[in-house]
Amino acid sequence: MKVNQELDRFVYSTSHNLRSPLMSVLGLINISRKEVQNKDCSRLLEYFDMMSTSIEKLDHTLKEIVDYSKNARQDVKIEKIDLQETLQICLDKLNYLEGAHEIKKEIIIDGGNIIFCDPDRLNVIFINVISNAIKYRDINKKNKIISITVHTYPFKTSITIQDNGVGIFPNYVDKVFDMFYRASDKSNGAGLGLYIVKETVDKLGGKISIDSEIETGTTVEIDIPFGGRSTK
Amino acid sequence: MNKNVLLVDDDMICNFITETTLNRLGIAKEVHSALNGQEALDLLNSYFLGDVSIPDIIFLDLNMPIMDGFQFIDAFKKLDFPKKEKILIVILTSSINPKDLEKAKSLGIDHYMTKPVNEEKVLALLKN
Repeated sequence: MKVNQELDRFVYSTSHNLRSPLMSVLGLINISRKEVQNKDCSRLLEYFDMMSTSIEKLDHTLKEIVDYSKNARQDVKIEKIDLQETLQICLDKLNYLEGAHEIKKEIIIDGGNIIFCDPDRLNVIFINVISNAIKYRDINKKNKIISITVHTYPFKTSITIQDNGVGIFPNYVDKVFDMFYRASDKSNGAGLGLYIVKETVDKLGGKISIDSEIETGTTVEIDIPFGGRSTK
Repeated sequence: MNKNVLLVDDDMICNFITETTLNRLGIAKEVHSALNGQEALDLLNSYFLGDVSIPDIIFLDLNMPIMDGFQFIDAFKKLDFPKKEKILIVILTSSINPKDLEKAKSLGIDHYMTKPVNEEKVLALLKN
């Protein structure tokens, strides 16, 4: 019964998040058609830009759903990982995001650069957390920074991703890992990003916590057991 | 028809589409937008202060961060607001969940539209 209710909620919430940008595109097509019929094409380029934004939003939601499904279904696959290289690739991938170039990024690795973990899952964690740090940067701060610190120990890897962004209101912090929860209007996905991160960390047998203060920034701390398996 | 309109939706593009459609129909006089229920409540408070005109219609999305449409309706009902009962709340949503429609009805909201805003439906609504 509970599973059915959760499935219902998942289906309706997902369909809403997919329909919403689609309906925006449809609305923009309707407006464009009327204006073309009235021989006014002056704003068409503006409408095309908005259609692109909506389609990118839809694509983002689809990617989140695929990440969620992959994590739920695929077995943990352990490989040798070069941390510096992996983190740099993630940062390069995210450089297209608005505002990414304004932010100083630092990577500090302590205790060894090589770990054994699931590379796809580690990427999902890094991409989601770092993209949030970029998206929720504080535009009023001159020196924006994302600091990624990794300590590798014999039995675990501890990752801290700290930013000096806008921060999260205290009453929302506990909810950010909930499925479909969005703490901000700036969120352009389905509210699955940090939920997927939490699920992914769980799958690796790890732990995640978040600490945030408004106007100061957010710190995400992740512990992953060596080899990405639970030590329990 | 010269209606003051408040658009409440976290999707700015949706607010733009609704505003453009209302302008095309010659319905809108003054249009304000809010990105969630809390912003809409804040705007309503500024109506009290006389900064902007009291809305005749509120187009309200349901799924929004910070304060969703249902939470807004609850909070709106508790407001002590002059001529509040004259304000028409129209839910404008992408949801196809029948439970949302049921819940809206249970909260006393009779006007429910699925996105995108439809000219004919808006005109029919305002005729009544």
